[in-house]
Amino acid sequence: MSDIDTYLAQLRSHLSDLDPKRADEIVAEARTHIESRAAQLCAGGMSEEEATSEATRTFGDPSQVAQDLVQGNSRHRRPIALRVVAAIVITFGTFLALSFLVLGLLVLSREGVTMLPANLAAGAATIVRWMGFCGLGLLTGIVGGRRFWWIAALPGCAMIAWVLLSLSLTPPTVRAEAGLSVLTVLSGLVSLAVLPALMASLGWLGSRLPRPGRLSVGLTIIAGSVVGLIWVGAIMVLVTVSRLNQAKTELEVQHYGALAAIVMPVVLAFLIAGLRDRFLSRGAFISSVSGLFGVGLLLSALVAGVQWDAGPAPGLLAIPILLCFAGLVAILIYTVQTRSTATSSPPPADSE
Amino acid sequence: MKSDTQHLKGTVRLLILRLLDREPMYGYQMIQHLKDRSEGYFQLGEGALYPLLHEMEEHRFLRAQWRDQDGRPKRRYYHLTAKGRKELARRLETWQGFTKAVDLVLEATHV
Repeated sequence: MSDIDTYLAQLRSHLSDLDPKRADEIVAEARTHIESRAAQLCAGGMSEEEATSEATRTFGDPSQVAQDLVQGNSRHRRPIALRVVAAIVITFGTFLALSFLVLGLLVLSREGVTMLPANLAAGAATIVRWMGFCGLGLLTGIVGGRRFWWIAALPGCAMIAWVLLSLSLTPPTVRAEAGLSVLTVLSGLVSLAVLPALMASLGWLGSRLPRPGRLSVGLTIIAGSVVGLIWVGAIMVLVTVSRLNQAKTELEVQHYGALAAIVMPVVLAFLIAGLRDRFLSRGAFISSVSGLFGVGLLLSALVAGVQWDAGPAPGLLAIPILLCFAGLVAILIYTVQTRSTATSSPPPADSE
Repeated sequence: MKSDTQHLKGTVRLLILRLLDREPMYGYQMIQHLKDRSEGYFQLGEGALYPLLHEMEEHRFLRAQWRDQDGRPKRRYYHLTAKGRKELARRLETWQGFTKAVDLVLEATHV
């Protein structure tokens, strides 16, 4: 490691209060400056070692320079209070979802589904579901950052797509039985549009919150997947308990599939966000996508199990379609990301 | 003294805006220009320049862009924005008013 590398590493370590991308950009700029200065000193007759030492010395004490830089970059600073609030919200939401999942599993295994009061379970399912939407929207925004905050809206969009697909595959007689006129469906979709709007807003808010340092892609994927799976697991258990004993119409059961399908874009969001950190190898990426397909198939099987008594299961068709689409989008973004990272060191083009 | 530091920073901001009004420059180039044109008077601490540049960038007086160099590492060039030009005009006016007032006082007390 050269003197310049050592100096820049010290400078970078003092810039932890800034957004990592901005900090990297600052370090890249400092590097070009110090190298230019060292080259000039070399041309003036100094040895390379003396020149680099002098160039880093005249740039200033790294901690003092970093302190001034953090002050000068207030727009890129990560507010500590917001970081703490975000961490509390996410942790609370995750543990709440986990506790519901454990509770649901215990009740199911010991007493059977009929023992849990349906209304209580339905209420809990609604709370968990909406907390999950909010928590994951926020988390996706935090991890995705300012470029990928919009990914938080994907789960909501996937849910709308699912409803449309389910309706198109449902026989007219069943639609009529369930009282689903075109007007009813449209009004339902309008109210459902609240979901992507809410998640996009939370994603935007999350992207303005601090990112917890430089996340490795492994940690990002694991954290995202675990939160997503816990969430879906909790929903599946609670919804199954609450609804199966009330009305076993085909349309109602199909909506459970929508919840399962939500996990795919959510996990995908974390995957794409992880790609930003440029550590993902092609092999790891392909394995992750394959793993996601596996998760999707597992959820399809669960949905199929629920729907078996209710006749044909369009969920079996729609989930793989969504998975394929999401996988293609992931591969496309991965390709673009790889190209841009290969040509962008130091950071590219305009700042922000 | 803090007031001296603030005054110096204000002056350097004016000089940077003035330099960039003529052509886009990168940090190291600005330091060289300031030193050469002031005949060695302004030897700005190198690490002190970037916080000022970034601060002015945050205020949208400047815009930065990485540019390829032929066979050399990329450099981050700073451009003056329309808002920066207005700021330059404002600072020039303030500066001229200030120096004129100082001159008047100095001349009046000259024996």
